[in-house]
Amino acid sequence: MNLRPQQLDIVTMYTGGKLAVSAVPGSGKTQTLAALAAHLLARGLVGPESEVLVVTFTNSAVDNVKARIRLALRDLGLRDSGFRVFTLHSLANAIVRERPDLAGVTYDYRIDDELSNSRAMAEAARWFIQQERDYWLSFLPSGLTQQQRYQAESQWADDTARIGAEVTKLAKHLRQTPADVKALIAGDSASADSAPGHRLPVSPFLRIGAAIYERYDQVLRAGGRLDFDDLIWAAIRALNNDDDFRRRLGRRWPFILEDEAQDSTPLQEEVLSLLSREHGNWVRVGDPNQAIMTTFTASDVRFFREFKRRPDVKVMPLTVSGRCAPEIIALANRLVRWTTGAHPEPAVRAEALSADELIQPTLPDDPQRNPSTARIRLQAFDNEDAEVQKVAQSAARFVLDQPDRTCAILAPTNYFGQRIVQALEAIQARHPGMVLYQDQLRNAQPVRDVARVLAQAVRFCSQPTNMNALVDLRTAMIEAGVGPHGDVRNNRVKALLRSARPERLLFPLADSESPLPVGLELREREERELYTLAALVARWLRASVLPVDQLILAIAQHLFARDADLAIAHSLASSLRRYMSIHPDAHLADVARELDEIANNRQRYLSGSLIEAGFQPSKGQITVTTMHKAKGLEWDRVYLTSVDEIEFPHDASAGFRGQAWYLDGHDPALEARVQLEALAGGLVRREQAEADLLHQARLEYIAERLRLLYVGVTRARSDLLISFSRRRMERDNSAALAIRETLQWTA
Amino acid sequence: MSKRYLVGHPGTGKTTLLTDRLTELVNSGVRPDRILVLIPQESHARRFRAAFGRTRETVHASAEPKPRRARASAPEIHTFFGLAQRHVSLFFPRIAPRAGFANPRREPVWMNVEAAQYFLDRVAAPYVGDFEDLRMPHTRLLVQILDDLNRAATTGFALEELADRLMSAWHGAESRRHAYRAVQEIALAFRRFCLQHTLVDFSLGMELFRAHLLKAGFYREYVAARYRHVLADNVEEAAPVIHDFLCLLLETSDSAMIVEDDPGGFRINLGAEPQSARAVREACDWVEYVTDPRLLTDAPDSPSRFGQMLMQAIMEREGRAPLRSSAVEVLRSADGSPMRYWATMVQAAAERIGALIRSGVPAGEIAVVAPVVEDVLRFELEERLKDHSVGVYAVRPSRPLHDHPLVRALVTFARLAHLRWGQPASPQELTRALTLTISELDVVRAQIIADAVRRSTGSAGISTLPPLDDAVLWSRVGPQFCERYAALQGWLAQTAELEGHRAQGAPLDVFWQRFVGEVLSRPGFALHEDPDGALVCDKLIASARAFREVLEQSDLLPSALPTAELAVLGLGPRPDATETMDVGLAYITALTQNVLAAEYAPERSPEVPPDRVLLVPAYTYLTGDYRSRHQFWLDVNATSWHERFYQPLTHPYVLSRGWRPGTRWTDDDEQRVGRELLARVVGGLAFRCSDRIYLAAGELNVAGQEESGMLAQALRRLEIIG
Repeated sequence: MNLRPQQLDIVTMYTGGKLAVSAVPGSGKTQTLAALAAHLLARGLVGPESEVLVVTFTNSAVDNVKARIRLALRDLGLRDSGFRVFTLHSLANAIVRERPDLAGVTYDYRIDDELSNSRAMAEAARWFIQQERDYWLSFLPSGLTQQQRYQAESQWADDTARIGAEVTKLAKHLRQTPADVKALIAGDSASADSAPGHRLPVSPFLRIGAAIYERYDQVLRAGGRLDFDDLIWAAIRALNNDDDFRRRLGRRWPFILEDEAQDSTPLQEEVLSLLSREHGNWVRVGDPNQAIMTTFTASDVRFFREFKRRPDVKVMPLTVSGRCAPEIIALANRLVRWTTGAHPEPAVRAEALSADELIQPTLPDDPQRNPSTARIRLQAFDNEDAEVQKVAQSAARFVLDQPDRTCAILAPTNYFGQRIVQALEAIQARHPGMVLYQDQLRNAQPVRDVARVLAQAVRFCSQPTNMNALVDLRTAMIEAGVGPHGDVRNNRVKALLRSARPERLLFPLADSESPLPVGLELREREERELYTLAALVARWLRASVLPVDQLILAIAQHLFARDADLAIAHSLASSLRRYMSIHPDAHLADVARELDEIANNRQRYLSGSLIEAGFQPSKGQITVTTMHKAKGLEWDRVYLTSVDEIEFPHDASAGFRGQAWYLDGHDPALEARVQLEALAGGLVRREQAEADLLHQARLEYIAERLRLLYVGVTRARSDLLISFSRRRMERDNSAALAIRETLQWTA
Repeated sequence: MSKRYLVGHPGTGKTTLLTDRLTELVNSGVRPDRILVLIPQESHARRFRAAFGRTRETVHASAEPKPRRARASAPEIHTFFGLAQRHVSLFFPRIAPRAGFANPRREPVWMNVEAAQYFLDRVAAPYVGDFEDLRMPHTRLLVQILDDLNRAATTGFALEELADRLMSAWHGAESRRHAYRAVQEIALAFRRFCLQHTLVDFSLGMELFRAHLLKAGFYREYVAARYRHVLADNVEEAAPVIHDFLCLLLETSDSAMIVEDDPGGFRINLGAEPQSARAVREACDWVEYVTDPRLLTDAPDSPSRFGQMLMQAIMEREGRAPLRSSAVEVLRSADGSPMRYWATMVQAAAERIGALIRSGVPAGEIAVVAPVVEDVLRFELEERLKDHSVGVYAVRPSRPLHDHPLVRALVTFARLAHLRWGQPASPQELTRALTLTISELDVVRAQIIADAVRRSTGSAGISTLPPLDDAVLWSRVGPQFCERYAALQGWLAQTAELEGHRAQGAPLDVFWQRFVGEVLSRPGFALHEDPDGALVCDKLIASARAFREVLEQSDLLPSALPTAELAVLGLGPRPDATETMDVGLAYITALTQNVLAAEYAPERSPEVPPDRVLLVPAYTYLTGDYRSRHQFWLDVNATSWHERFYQPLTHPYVLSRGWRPGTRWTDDDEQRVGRELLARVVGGLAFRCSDRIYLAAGELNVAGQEESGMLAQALRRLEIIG
């Protein structure tokens, strides 16, 4: 294995204790962790009944790390054992699974994935709106036109669900039950009465959030369901409830290596802290400048930074990166330096990015040298339409001209990404037979492919006499490259299928006549395809009396051979089992519709990064996705769109995205969150005014957006094309200050 | 020699010694009805009945007839709990006054687990807020409280001690103690409720047996006079209360032969406590260890020997010498590499089974065992064995009634026959129901029929089945299926018409009984050759009947209860079907809402047809005491091989008789029992296999995840798997 000097230092010098590794984008974090795990084993530091525990952020990283550790072990001439790779959730699941009684669940507990999770949250919010309709409506201003009123109501409903989601998420990370949150609210109101001078009025949004949290929790509890945060919380409970249990796991895993530590939430950190208490051997690798999950996961870059500052923690750098061209490295470093040294908000200077982790290009003898050529450009367009069209055209030209290179358009929001997709669709229509782009906005392609095939399979099972459904199923299978081989454009097979008698084709009786209309001659290849297909789907039809999750598992075993696809199918299956338990009257047709929603991106299935779903950029195709989802990936050319003051603000007193026009500029979810944090943690002094809390929250938002920009910039290997629109959302607009300053741009 | 206690491995002929003893007793002139045979489950009775039958043949064949009375009577053969329940029923009037019943003169109503859950649900309603730090479906809470009630009764501690026991073993967060107290309060409230209404659930029955009957002088005299000779099999599977009863018998009987299986104790979730059998052992005159010839040093390699080595490897956890055994085979994929996917594992097992059968092994001598048997495993194995023309006989552990597809079909037909419920079926439901009830009918033809029904009724909701006599339909579906549909439709129409004439229709259980008897059991319908399905239907009918009988006690209908009492019991009137007074609809509502998701005692283990491969979860294999020449162990990597059914509000060890109250339950204890349990399971399986064990696992389980349980670790230490 070829390691750089910095990597080698870590691998050879570490023998125990707490270590923080400050890494930069493209510096080989995973490779270092894998090599370290192998070396710990090689040095005999891990007993026969013990394992090195590696914790990564995503499922696909698990496979990646495993493969690398195996390689490293083979290089060292060692047996392929003695390590365990988990995501934090699968680790928590393993802990709970071992002692459900300690965790406070029964042996048959169920984990809610994000799909059923968001559905349950939406239902809880709807329940609240229904229960408290008048109160809820009272938030809307009077004197609206009917049209405005309709818009306001629908947005307020969305925002209500968002309040619920964010309050729930934060409360769980603060380990506050719904009852605790209620007590916090009530307690504070009581003290407010007694000491009117130090009053922190409880935001009505927090009350709404608390009510939705309570409802959501009740529903999950009654179903014996755990969402991802509950699962981690349950693992912490189990570890806290029995010291012997915690010590035993400590002995089983005498070394803990953690990847992506900057995205660790307080709950996640607590699990690893408990597990390492026995031996103190905990290596955390992270890049605080890439902490962009805070809004989604309640993680906070503060935690990793605090860890680095602890007196018992050794810090080592991992700052050499061969990913980007030197010019792009220089730009990224300038962004860090400008932010830490010159950002107009002092608090942002201190918090947003850290100059400890500046990127260094590789030395000449490095196995992975930086690309030599670079192109960086900032382009201004007159308006959004122009930006969308021009960016799409430019990217399309690039992949047509250079089919062996990779390219991505990264949008700050799904909405903007969607518009790019529409533009690309139009371009693609002019290039029949070519696939110019991949829409990776909401659900990653692999998830959608699996869902699409399963949807068609389940739909056909729900109406087995409908041969059009079988034709659709066949097309979906061929397109996804699974099932019997066939040519999707062979209209003859389609026509044959449509005219066949399904009962004779699929379930021939002993005396059956041919399923096909008289006078039709089949070519041999067609015949083979037809009857293979018939045998396969007849099997599924026989399985269609099974419970829906078991049916989907059965279908998946026949169709998919990739681990990731099987895992996706399984998680779809269990999600649909929960759907059926909530809707006991639902039929297979409803299940197929649910799968369609996922396949067609109408329903979000996994919010994580693309890399989580096992996505890898394809040459000659444009990946369209959000900056958030691009994490961990790289492309030869990257377009960063809408890099403006709306998406990347610098001034905490200016208006923000998220503020609701119908609520007089309030940002209800943010307010609820900030207040809850203040009430629960005493993070902010109680007498501090509400306005200060909001100001603080806005500063954090500014900081996170700067890190997102940093992530976007460091996705590009050679070409970085940044753009914005001069006029957007009916007002004048400029490029983000940070990018203007670092590029010394003048309009 | 008169009171013997035999201990030995499965397969060493202990039960044969018991049946021989029965023959010997009868042949020696002992009155058969003075002999008591106690067995763990009903299916074991066959061998004893057969043995007794043979004595009668010899009696008839011999020239000199024995005294007449001896021939007229038969030995009493009972399951452990069956006997206890029988005696409680018999002597109820004598023990009820002291047991706290409000109306001791009333005839008691025995509740099945569904009825018990139904009422416990109501009693528990006010307490649901007391389980803040726990997460489980509501039915799980009920199931655990019933388990606590049962353990208190069969172990022999007061319900008032329940919370203390659980609390003293616990050393985690305080909130759990609060939950334990709430559990105790609910259990006590439920007990009061039962005493108030003369309802007897399983726990109260056992409580009456242990605390009242066993202590009563009259009962001791009765037992002493009645049972002179005692034969008991598998006492390690019995609860302490049964051990008490056996000790009582041993004091007074003339002879006894008691058998303990080692390894055993697989009914731990049903209250079995092998350790408490020690008292029985000590009350015997002799303890004999039956030698296992398969383990003698000069015996050839056998699954038994492998089982013994594996048990040791599991218990010792030390690095052991590699084990080579010709009685074990590790399955690999076609190219010889370890198998990655779950589906590959199933395929490999199917291929190997096919090869065995081609080499002349009867299918019935082959068993496929997995820690958990999901539907998808059954389906996949069935499909793949079809290629080898072998059928699968799946024995499932108990599961909620409504999870059985056939039960859902019966519910659909009940709705179609009860117009007044206003619960039409959808075409999809009808398709499913037809597929499941008409033999060999495939989904496609079922759907063609359902489409025709919908066209004929003209609405999406089907409330009744019309006659169909469309020629095109007949040609597409085939005459045999059309005729069966016609039979089904005709019966339902006739029944619905009769229903319409009566003010109050026939009870639901009677409807189903007739439907099963007059339609489904006939040739061409699902139950004609499906004893499994018949068993499920029996259970459904029994459950519906018991539910009705309990609810028909007039004082239990919510409208008949005084409000104050309702409040005390936490039984607010519910807006469900009980108010419409239609018990059948109430039953279906409760069934489909899964309130009745009871854990059942294992279904009696059916005999495996000789031409089919047995597919069975490991525990069910052991409690059913199956034997095979070839065993396939699937998913050997799974952690479920050693995991017990963890539940936070009950505890099989802390609530056992051997537990010293006040002791803490530690993680070491947990590890120890996990190992013991696994060792017993693998030993129990291996000793029941005569020729060879096949080990199979994919690196990934059915969910695409890697697992590495204690079993896989032990196999790796022995270098049997890599």
